[in-house]
Amino acid sequence: MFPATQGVEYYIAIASASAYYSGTEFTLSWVPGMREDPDDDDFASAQAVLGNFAPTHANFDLLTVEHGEPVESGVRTAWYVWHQPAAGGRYTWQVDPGFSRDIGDAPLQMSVFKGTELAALEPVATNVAANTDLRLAFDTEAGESYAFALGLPGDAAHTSVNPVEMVLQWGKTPENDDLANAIALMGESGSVTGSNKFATNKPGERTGALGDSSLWWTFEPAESGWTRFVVAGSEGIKLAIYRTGADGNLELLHTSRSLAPGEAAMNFEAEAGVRYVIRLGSYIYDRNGFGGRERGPFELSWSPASPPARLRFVEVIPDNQPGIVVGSETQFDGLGAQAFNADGTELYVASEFGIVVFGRDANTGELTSCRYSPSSPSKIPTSSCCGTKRARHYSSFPATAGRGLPPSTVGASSTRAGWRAAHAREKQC
Amino acid sequence: MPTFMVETYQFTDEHTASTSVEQIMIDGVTKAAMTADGSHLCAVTAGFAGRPQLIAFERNAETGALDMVSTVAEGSTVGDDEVIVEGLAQARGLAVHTSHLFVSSGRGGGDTAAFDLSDPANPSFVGKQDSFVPFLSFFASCGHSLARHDVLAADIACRASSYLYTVQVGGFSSVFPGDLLALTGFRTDTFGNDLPNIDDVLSYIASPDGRHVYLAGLSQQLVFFPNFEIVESSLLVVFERRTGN
Repeated sequence: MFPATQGVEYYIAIASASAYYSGTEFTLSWVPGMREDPDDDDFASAQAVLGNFAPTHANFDLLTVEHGEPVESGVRTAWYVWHQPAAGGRYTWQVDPGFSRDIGDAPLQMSVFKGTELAALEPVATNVAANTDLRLAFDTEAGESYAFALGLPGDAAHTSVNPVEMVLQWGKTPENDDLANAIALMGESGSVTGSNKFATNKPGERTGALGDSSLWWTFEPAESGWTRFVVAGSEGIKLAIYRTGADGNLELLHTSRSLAPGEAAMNFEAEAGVRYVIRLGSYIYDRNGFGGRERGPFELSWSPASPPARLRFVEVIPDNQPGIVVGSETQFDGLGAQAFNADGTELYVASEFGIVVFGRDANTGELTSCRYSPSSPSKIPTSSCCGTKRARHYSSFPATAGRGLPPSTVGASSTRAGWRAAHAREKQC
Repeated sequence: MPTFMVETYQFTDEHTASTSVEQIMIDGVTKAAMTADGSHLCAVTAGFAGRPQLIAFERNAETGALDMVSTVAEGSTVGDDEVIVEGLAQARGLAVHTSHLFVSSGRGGGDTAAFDLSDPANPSFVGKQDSFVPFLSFFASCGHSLARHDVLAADIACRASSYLYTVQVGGFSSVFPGDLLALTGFRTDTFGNDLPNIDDVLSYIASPDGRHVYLAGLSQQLVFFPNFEIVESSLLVVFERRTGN
């Protein structure tokens, strides 16, 4: 359905959504009709928006393109008018989808125009994105009126789009919205506050796991040393640090770790005189439910720090591992306390079967050998399989093997061998 | 409040027998640890009227007898800035660094308070890091706490939990998170190594040279064949302590 204007010649095209559906027979018919609820479908009835947000309802299956709409507005458009009352400057407009996160696969298009007459609209900016990620930044002039079209791209081949309840929001774009306007962080420690609610991304900018709605700073330490950046804000907030590579492009050095909801931290060893670039972004809910709910205020602080204390995984010794004890499997159910000998070459582990003694490679930390304490020779597990945790014999069954192990340590042959050995023992018992 | 006792024994030179030196009765001692040089004993108590305390005892090197020299109470203020002492309630674990004491406390022991032991007779509150474990079960108890000696840090593991973490002292924020390893769901450490699946930590120990930590743990898995049951497997896991990159 579209509002036809008397005396205008229209061209009707019929196409399939894709080649997969091509070749369908059709009948084309036409009758006069009335739009059920034109609402803000036409430019003349555009919704005037005030303040800094406007709730809106859009049913893109009913919205149309009227005669004379600029091609930049897209199709199935709803119109809004905003009078810039402030002193001008760069503003960001965005769609908050609220609970209407799933409108289907259709992207949305938001376009902004300067002017008050449909025939004389002057395109200012346009952007196309998913409804959860649609933002548009542009420079405004004080006292100017702007018209916004919210619709689908002209080439969107979506026959049906779910109706949505959304909130249009707008506010001043942060000063350091892009790398070119990064703000210098001064001093070996300090903090800044801000908000990335109206921050945007540049075309081609890496987002994804690094988050979107990025803000940028530079950091050039006077002295070399470890520095810790901490950001506290909305859940899903993230930091990344770059330096300029030999080719002049940014080279990603580190990303932050989220150690508490709404808090992320990043330690790195800074070189004196090197100009680093700090990026802040927000990872918003994806379809798998990861990420935070919103972008917003934050505090970014930095300070000299100790080198980060970390733990590196070396190895796992699973129960039932063949080969450590010559001629049998290592079994150490019911583990308890541990102790070392004085020089750290032996580790003693209390177990259900007695004390298990492991040799230790002091250089790598790996446990090199295993035996049972002489104090409990009669209790070694190979002679006491009956009645002791029968269920655990199946822990090596291939269908469930390795739940307790990293994938790299789960070998099909060893698990099957363990399973067969367990069965053999059970038969004997 | 139940009364607990710190009892001191002295071994014979041959370590074949021991004799009791003294008994000190204290209300609600939950944890105690010796300073690295053996000159003092730090004990955390539930305290009077719900105000937990950190008590420092001086130790007689000859006889082993203890002499109470100072107390620090939860909620008291210290220093010119009148910093409020916190992180002594529900203490589950103590770890003694050569110059600092780490106290695992709060719900499940997930919080970590640090005290400066430069003057071991007067432990000085440094700060507290709230729990940063994403999910600490109701039954969790973060009592496995191991201090490092090359850096101001403690590696902490919790019973009935699938997390290891490190807490550090220093810099702008005094006490801060170092590392966090999730031992569930095939996660990786910060170096990209796959981690084993562990549902419970049974014991946790550092090698004498301090370079590695050894975790005895338990992994549980649901098995549907031939019977529907939960099967437990024991694991020993080795981690290298790294500082920096």
